[in-house]
Amino acid sequence: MLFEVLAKALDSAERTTSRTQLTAILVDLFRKTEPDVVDKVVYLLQGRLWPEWSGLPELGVGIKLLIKAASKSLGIKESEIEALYNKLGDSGKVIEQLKAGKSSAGVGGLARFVQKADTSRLTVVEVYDTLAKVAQATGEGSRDIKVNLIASLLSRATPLEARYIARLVEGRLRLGIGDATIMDAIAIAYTGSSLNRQLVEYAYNVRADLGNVAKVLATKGLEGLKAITPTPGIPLRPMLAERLSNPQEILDKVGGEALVEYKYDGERAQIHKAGDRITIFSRRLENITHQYPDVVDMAKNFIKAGEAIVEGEIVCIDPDTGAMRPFQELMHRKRKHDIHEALKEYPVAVFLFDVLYVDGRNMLNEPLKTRREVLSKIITENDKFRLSEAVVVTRADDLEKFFLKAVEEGAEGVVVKALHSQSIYQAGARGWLWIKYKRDYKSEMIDTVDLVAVGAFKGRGKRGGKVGALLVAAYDPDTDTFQTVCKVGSGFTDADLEKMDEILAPYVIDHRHPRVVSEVEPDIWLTPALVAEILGAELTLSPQHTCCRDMVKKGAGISIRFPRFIRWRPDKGPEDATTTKELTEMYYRQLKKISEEVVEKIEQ
Amino acid sequence: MSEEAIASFEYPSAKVFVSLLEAVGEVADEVLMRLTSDGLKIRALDPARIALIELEIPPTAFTSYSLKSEELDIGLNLSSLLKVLPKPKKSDVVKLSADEMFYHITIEGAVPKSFKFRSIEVSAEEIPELNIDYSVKAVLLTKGLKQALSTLKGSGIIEIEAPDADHIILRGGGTLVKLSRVSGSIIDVEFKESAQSAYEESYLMKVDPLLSLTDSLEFFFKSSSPLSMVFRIPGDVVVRYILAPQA
Repeated sequence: MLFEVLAKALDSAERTTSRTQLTAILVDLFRKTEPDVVDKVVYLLQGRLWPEWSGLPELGVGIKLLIKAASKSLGIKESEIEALYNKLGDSGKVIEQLKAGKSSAGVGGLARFVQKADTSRLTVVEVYDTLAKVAQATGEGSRDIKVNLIASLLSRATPLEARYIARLVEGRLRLGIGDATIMDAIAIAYTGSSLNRQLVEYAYNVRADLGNVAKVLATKGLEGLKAITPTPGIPLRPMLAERLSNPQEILDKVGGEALVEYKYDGERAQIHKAGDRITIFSRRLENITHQYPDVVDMAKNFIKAGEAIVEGEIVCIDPDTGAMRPFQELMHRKRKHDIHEALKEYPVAVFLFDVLYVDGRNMLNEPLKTRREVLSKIITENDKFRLSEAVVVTRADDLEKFFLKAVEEGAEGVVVKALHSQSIYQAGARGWLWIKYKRDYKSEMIDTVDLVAVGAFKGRGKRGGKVGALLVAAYDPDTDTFQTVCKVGSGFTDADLEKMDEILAPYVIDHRHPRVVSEVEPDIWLTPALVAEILGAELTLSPQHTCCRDMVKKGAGISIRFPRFIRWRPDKGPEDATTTKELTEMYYRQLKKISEEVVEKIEQ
Repeated sequence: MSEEAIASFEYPSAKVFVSLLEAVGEVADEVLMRLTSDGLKIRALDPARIALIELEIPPTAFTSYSLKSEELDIGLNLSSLLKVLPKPKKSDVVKLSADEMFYHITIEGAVPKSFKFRSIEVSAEEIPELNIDYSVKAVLLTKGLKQALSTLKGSGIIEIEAPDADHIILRGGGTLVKLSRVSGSIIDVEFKESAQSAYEESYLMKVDPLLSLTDSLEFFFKSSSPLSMVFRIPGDVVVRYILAPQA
């Protein structure tokens, strides 16, 4: 198939403003495309060389390199090309224009002197293969190799072809042909009817490789598409949740009974296991395996099935207390060059919530109850690799209570999932089978507060047996009581922890102090005496803690999300601690509506 | 492999053979080496189509040369091949045997070193034939040209001028080097008219591995036209290098 056919279609597509027309152009293009190259045509339409998740390098060479190649191919000085580029701002147009101007005098290089013109025309496969070489050239001398390869394509291209080669090379096709339009066109071109679009979309959702889906349809027809099932190693487009903020409405939508799960503040991960080979894909289907060698080990050891695709949330945790840390901490996994350093500093836990495939069995059409049962059977659960925290509820107040607990423990909210017989996994779709319930407001914490230690918890791991966290409380002068606010297990230095038992020893008692109001049972009770300075991400509502209970919301107190110990305040007595009234004022003063924009950013 | 080999040969100087491949490798990374009863032939156009190199080694130049079929094409990935091959000593010989899938190269010296490579797919591209009526045909001393190029190194563009039958001037970056009959840099010349043209320095430098293999070269030149250089290496080995002028 000649590249010219694709270039002409791209040109028509660029000039049309109607989506119907755009689809018609693509249908015509696919009809002219030989089945064995349709995958390459689809990738090029998407402005890429392979699916994003493949982990292979993408195109996107710098403009300087492109200008160098154009100069070499056209025999025009780089400075001239650069000047025109600065004027037009589009490398494709620049090279097309220069090439068109040159064609009357013959193209550059030796071709100008060849008596019988070099008439060999570029094919889609040649362009694709050369671009693949450009993308994959690395190391010493790769710059020259890239320049030469691009120059070779531009030399043989017609002006129109050169426009699109330049844009592809630069990684800016700028056509905005969406996957949806490509799917419409594939369905019409290969099945003769747009009615089959649904099947194409199903296949794409289950195998997130539109090039491959198109090739299957072009070579094997609809039966081929129907046979597409989840395959370990190839990501599925994840099922998405709708959003509502009224618990009763949520329960009504999902049919009264629901599985309510923590919506963890982490990275959603699709974990694929095929024997010893583990691949992890992000929510946007990027291959993120290299960021999580620890999760790879967990998947190898704790997924009992030989082959499986499971979904879960990777959450950064405090190794000593098991407490969740904010999503931002996970970013260190992306930034750190030395991932093994990050492994130690930012350990993670995986909370699994779904299974899409197990040992040849396609789980997508099974109801959630069955999927959850199968998931629990194929996982060896432990602290770091386990099923998500979940309850089954039928009442709105139970849902609300679980929601507040989730937020307080560091989750973003909850996801409410239908449990009825139709509760299948809808890959790639956002529907009412899953509904997320997140906070609309948050109260950012700007200042530190001084809270009184009223209890302590023994640590885990290397802190095993020793105190690793404190239960802290605010003072209510009206009732002369200390009302619990949060459990703090972060921010302590090793020296703080070493001295902790010694510091607490004089205040240890075997029962709750009468001035302490608490519904949480610590390992050790303390007489309210020691004051600690605490900072957190935000003030939040909690069903567990008693501080300001019922003042903001019925059944909930004020707590601190992601609390950190700053230092002891020996200069303060327990009655000098931050009061419950002050905390209520802080909560309202800093309360801000969470905009959708922020929410979406966090999701990504 | 040698028993099943379709083609095999032994070339008396591994050093020369590797230098020839290096010269070709300067122009293209992936090339097709064609073995026929006429000997070994490589023609390669650089990806930007600025330069063309042709290498011909007749069967008589080899110590032994055997071919069981009419012809055999071997796809060489020179960028990796040249990285792997050791620098041969002066007395080393090189042996090659090949079938359609693989080829074996042995550098035979005090310690023979053998390498096996897969023959890669290289599309047999139509390479243009040039037919130019040159203004100047000269025979130059390679030493003179080598010195001139080394002096002009780093100038980006080198302008070449043949004002008369006795001089060839190379200019670049404000420096001028004159090759002349009197100095002995020009051995012989056939002059029709004066000529002037400019070439990219990096492309002129690609002939460097060839300049050490022979004492003289044939130099074909015309205004704003491709420059052709022919190197004749003992054993009737011919290397032709053609370079397009700057536009």
